[in-house]
Amino acid sequence: MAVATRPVPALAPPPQPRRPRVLLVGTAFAVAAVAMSFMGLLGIYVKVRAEAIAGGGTWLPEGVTIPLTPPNVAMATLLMSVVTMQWAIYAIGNRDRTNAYVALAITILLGAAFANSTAYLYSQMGLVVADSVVGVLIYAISGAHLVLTVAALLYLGLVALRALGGEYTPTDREGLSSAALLWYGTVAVYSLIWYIVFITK
Amino acid sequence: MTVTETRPDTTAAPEAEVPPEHAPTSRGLPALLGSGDHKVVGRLWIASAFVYLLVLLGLAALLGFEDADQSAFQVLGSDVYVQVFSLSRVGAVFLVAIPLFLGVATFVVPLQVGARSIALPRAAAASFWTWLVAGGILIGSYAIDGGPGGGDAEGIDLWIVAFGLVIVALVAASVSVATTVLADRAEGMRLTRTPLFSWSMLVATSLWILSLPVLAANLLLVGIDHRYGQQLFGTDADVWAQVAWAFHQPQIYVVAIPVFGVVLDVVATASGARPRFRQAAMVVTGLFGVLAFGAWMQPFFNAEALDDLWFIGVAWVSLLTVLGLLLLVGETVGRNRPKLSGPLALAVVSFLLLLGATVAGGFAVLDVLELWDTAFVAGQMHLTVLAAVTGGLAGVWYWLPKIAGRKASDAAGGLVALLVLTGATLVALGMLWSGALDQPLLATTAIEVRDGVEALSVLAAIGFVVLVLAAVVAALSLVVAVRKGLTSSPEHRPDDPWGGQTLEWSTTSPPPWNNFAEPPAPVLTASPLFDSVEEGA
Repeated sequence: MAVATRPVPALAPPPQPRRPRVLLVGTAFAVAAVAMSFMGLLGIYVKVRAEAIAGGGTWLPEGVTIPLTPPNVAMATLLMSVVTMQWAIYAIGNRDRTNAYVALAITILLGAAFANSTAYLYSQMGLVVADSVVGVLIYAISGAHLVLTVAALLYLGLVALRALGGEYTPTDREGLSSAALLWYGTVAVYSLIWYIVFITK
Repeated sequence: MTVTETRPDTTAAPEAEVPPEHAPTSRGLPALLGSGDHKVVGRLWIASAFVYLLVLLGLAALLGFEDADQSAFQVLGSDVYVQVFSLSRVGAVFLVAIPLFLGVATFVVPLQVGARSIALPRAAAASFWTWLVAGGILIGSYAIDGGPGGGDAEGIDLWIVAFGLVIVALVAASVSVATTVLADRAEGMRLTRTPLFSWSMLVATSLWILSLPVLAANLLLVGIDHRYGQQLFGTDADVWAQVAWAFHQPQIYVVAIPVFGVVLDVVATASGARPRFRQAAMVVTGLFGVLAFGAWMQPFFNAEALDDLWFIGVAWVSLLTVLGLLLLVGETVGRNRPKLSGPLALAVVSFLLLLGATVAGGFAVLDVLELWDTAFVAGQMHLTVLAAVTGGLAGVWYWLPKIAGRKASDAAGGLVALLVLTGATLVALGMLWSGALDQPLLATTAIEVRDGVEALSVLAAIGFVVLVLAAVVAALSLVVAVRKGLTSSPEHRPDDPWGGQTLEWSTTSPPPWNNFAEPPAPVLTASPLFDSVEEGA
């Protein structure tokens, strides 16, 4: 007589090992490196400007004006993008993918608008890079930041495409968080440039 | 009806038939060019740094012989002299010392912390190839009369761009190493249980990440200014002055931070004893690293640095940290007499050179001695870089069983250590002493002949020739060991030939594609392999 053996209960899958947050930590190091390079640039800017003013001269060359409106609008744009970026993370955390897509799209749009406003500022300043120390410094600092912004936007775009492809969940959104960290770093650096270069001139 | 349910047959196929998940299938050149395996990338860093080392030591010897007769430029022209001067310095730090440590770290750190791979492996691979190409362009820029002291404006621009790319690549590689230590350690390995070499690399890479971008920012401004108008500091003569801070103390010490880790790991293994005060060792390493941050020494911020009490204090406290390392190593050696070996000899020489560098650094900053801007500073820089390169060499010798499968000859290691010690002593003696006799740091014009200085310059040049000999002997010994490793059978490739304490010695030599056949057991102490031995006993 055949004996029926007891069915083997399905074993629960083993818990996933905790995934190291390498992308987030790596991005934090990269942001630190970027921040230090801008500290170096801005330090030289402040020092050279102080020496020029202490020597009795004027800082901006004759005929050059830096209008306040474009950098102010750019700063406001970036601050809004911080809100939308955080909105995207919050939405993913709540499994609200639609809101996450909208927030990411708006963040990228605001980033592009910032790049546009910087280009507009360049056209308004009347500052020629080869004519003065000021030109060298301002174009080096703001140009480097523009490159950083484009790099951060590319990263955001990649993350947005991945989100559209179904990646990121409330428990696994490291890619999104790391892109956000880079974006916040970009905004923080601009806030320094905005104050030191454009506001206090 | 009879129903019999049985478990499906899940018996694993023989191990050899199951390739590891995601294991690469390509071979040859495509596997080399496209590999993100940290072991491949680490070997590439080490081999490339070695090639640059041989070239640059030859150039340094040439400079020494040029210095031998200062009444005229006989070996090199005055412009070429400045170019070779800058190339030897940029190359020593950015093409040899830092890349050598990054190579060892890229290979060893993931194994030491029990990770399956390096963090951000594509970034690690991309950084190596970027560095290699940019380093080639940097040297090539001199060939078209570029670089500091060059006469071709576009050649100088090319040098600035290439140097910037080299820095970006080194920072990216540093991010991979630092992230591996911080975020990818094995279960149970708290930061305080991190192997001391990995810890020293975390400190070093953090400092490289924080200070090298400042140098890149300098280069950006110099590059834009040089190309457009030369209003600020972009004239040909100013290019070197603006980046020279990276080659003087305290910043130059950042290249030597991993010496602490290599010395501590090698001595602990050779002694067969757990380092008793390892947290003190971590603090001392960290302090040396923090003091080495030198971006505040840029000429724009600190033209009067010699009068700065902080500057003088940093130099002397750096010496105290090295003496602290001596105490910690002495404590370990005092408990258990170390076995003599090639890595130990190299580590000891590396430590002695670093000690000499920090002592010289202490005197260099004393304004009353008027040694700054003399050859004394060059001697101090060379001692520091030689300490770093010798430390890197000690690391390669120590971890060669993992890198290549076989140990290198201990006798050859001892010979290399002896040659390095002799060569470095001659170099240091020549430069430090001639600096004390007011020999300028960079003589761009023929200067009056003075008693003694020429003989000292010859002494330094002979020292560099001895160092070239040391590098050749080291390269030959390593090539022989690598060939043996490639041709020997697995039973002749012991997993742990030294009796090591850390996780890298628990896997095969060389390690498999994903580093460990089985995930490492939870780490309970800083010397997990000692725990295994004690449990077994």
